[in-house]
Amino acid sequence: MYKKKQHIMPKWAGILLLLAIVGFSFSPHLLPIVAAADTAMDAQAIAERIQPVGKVRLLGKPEPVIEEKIPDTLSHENQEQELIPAPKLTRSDYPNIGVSSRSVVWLIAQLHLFFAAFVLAVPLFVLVIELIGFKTGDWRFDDMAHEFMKISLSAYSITALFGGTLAFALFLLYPQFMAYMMRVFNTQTLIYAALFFAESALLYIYYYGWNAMRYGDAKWVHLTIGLLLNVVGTTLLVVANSWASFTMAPSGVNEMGAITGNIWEIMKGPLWNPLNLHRFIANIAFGGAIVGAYAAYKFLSAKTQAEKAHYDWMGYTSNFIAILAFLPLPFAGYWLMAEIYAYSQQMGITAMGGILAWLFVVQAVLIGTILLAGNYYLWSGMSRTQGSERYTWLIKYIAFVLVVGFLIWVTPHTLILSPAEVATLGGSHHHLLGPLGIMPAKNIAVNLMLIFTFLSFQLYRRSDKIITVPWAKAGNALIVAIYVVAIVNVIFAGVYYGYFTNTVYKVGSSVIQVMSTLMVIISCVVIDTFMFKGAKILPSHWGKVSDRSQYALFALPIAFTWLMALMGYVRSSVRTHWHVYTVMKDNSPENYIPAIGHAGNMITIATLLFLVIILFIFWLASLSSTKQAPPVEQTATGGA
Amino acid sequence: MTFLQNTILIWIGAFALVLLAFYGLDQFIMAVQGLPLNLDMTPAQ
Amino acid sequence: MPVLVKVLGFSLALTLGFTLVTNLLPQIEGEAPVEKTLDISAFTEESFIALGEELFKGNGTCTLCHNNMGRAPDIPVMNMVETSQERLADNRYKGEAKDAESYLRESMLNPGIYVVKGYGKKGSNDTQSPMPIVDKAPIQLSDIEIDAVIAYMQAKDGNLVTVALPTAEAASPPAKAEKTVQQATPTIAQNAEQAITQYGCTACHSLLEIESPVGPDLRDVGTRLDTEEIRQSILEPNAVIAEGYFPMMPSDFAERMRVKELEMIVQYLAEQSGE
Repeated sequence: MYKKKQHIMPKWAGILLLLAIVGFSFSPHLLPIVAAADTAMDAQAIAERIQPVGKVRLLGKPEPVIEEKIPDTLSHENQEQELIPAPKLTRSDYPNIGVSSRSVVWLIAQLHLFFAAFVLAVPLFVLVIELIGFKTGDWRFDDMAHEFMKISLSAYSITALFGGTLAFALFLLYPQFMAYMMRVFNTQTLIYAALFFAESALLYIYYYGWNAMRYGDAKWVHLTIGLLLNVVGTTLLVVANSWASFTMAPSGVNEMGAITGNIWEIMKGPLWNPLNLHRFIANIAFGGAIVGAYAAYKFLSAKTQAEKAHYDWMGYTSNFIAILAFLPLPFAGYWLMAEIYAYSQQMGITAMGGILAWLFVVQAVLIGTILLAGNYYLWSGMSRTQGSERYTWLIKYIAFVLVVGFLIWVTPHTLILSPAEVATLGGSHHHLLGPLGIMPAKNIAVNLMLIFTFLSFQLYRRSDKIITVPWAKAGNALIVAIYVVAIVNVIFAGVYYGYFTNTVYKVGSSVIQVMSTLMVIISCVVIDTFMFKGAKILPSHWGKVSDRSQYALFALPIAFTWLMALMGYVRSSVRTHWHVYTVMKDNSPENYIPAIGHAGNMITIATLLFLVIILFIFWLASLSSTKQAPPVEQTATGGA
Repeated sequence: MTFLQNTILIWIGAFALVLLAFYGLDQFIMAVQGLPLNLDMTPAQ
Repeated sequence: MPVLVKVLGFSLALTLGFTLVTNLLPQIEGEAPVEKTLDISAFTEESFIALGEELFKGNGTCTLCHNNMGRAPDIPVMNMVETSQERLADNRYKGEAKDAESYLRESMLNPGIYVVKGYGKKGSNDTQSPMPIVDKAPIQLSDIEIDAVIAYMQAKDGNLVTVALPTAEAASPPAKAEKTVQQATPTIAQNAEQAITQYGCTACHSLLEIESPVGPDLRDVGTRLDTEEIRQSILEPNAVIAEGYFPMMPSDFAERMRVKELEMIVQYLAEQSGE
């Protein structure tokens, strides 16, 4: 009886603590800050965010009754502040250290973001894997989670190093811009720094306490620490994101850059949450891809069959995480782009219809690489089980759809042509390929590519199972019907509403396409879960996979890394010649959008530097578990 | 019911069900966006 | 070959593949606006038009949308004076302009007052313009620059240029207030009708013989709201939203309106009882 009591208490204390934390963060009554943010965010026009409402009062007339939107505690200090505009800089205001300031900040910032994305992402999926291991009782998951954290730990200090260097570089090379940003964000920057104490503490306890808190109730404590680690990490992400989204779409300041709102209004600009969602999901995909490279590297250098099997399995899990997180990314990106268009048509057109338009064709190349690599890995993996032979005939069709989809996605709409070329082409657009360059065609392509990628997944999952439920035939018929109808629906919605109706219906039909894709994924996962009950599991020969497939696991993080840097180039460039769009002009010697070739070179340098450092980190992870054999004692032999 | 009849029925049934489901999905999604469709899926506006 | 070398080699090859793609594409560098000091009194009609053309294709960022891709009227190939006349004759036109020059200026400073059919913001039924206001950030052309662009638009099709050349007295640096923004309206309205037209109320509200479905009908607003509520609706439009309408009303009238203009409008609206 005594033991039972002890058993329940810590676990329930942990759960209650968790609920309390979640409850506090959501309940407006307990946290007035959240209440303030809530009311401040309700139904505000974009113009209102930038231009506050003034008060006009006539002599002798009473003050008009106006709804208080923000509690006094947060706004009173602003009323007393003098309205100081953003600085106006001239060329000579910019320090010159002999090399391109923009390039210096670009490289350091990009490397910082690579590592930050990595160290934020890994604890997210490690926590899930640890939980799965705990619930299923399969300790291999727990060991793998622990191993992932080891890699993340070395990366953590490198992230901080780049962060510090970035701060120095920014203050040195763009002092007035940083002075302005510090003025705008104020105490929030200190809170950001302070959060790192919490992050570090939680990270070290989570990693070093792994074996100390391994079983029973202690495991629940460990999991809670992991959860808190992720909460702090995500907070760090959204705080840093607010700086980026502010420079693109400033809020809480007026036209001149003077602060007119409180910190919540400053943070919650129109692009903040779309950026948050996009980066959160993308980080997970990126992190999964990197640990996949680790697994692939270890697989290729494995000496024993057991090692090969372990790292093969790890590689599969990493690829699974990467592709799973990757699937919703196009939709998060679409939302981000839609918000950019809503905020400023000019910014949107600069990104996709103007000077940066070709960049999105490069993006298509990279995403094509990612999908092909991910799919290729899955197809290769089917060789691990015999049951896959039933499905291998489908692979060529999936490959065909992926390649055609990729080609359509890559097709540009606007070609920069000379007059002679226009004459040859017969117009500014190719009469056949022109229609493929616009969104309806691309939406069809990307949705089909995602559906067929999911099909590769589903086939892989089915490969090692013989289904025994009596309603198998009906279930399979249902699944085939769902795929066929969804594909037809995606094509129909894209072609009919995209080319034969007006703009509003065209845009609205993209939601049909997205939902069709999501329906396929969700319904097939659900149906398969039921169909697999009592299935006969065929043996999976982990380790029995080609070396070639491991290169697919390298292609994935390379493409992800390069793509991330490419998107950074977009994010920075859409502001054109502004430090803070419409508010603080950029008058530095490099206040123009660099050409895409130059950007490509910079991105490659950043990617290769990252690769080298990551390999160093992998090596460190291996080093920490290497034990040198003690010297053998020399016994006296023969002699005199 | 022969085996073949059974199979055909299952497949027809599956497709009929799924077609109906997606038709309903399309109608619903366009309607909540304020873009109603006629029964033949043409725009109602 | 050791694994490390093979892996590095593969990664390098793939990365260089991506780099190659970017270097094969057309290389275009963005142009940052260059601050040029011009001798205002030295302009001839020709050099002024040339300035306008330079602005149209450069700092003004007009060609971003005004091209043959369908996003905005294709100004480079249209006879703008003829087009202006057509627009003014359109019974949807609710603006203040009387001739091509004033129409073109109004289109730049207040694009929302009249949206050419088919070019409105998606879903706004051609009542909202996606065009930015040219004398505000990020474009921020000065009055003289706007005149130059108008001169270009008139001259390019061989039409008469009616814009006056800038004189030394008129050339003052674009007045950007260091403190709170006070958007200077060109002249103060003399009566309520002028003020209402100047601030574009009828773009959304039915008033002054003009009908518009976007916002509440103001022809009988005096029976619904008292003067305090009317004043609040103008100064803080999002404080109270009429049922069935969306929060779309500009909230910067407090900065833009003169007190006198505000009071004229408020008094006028208070008298509107739907007769």
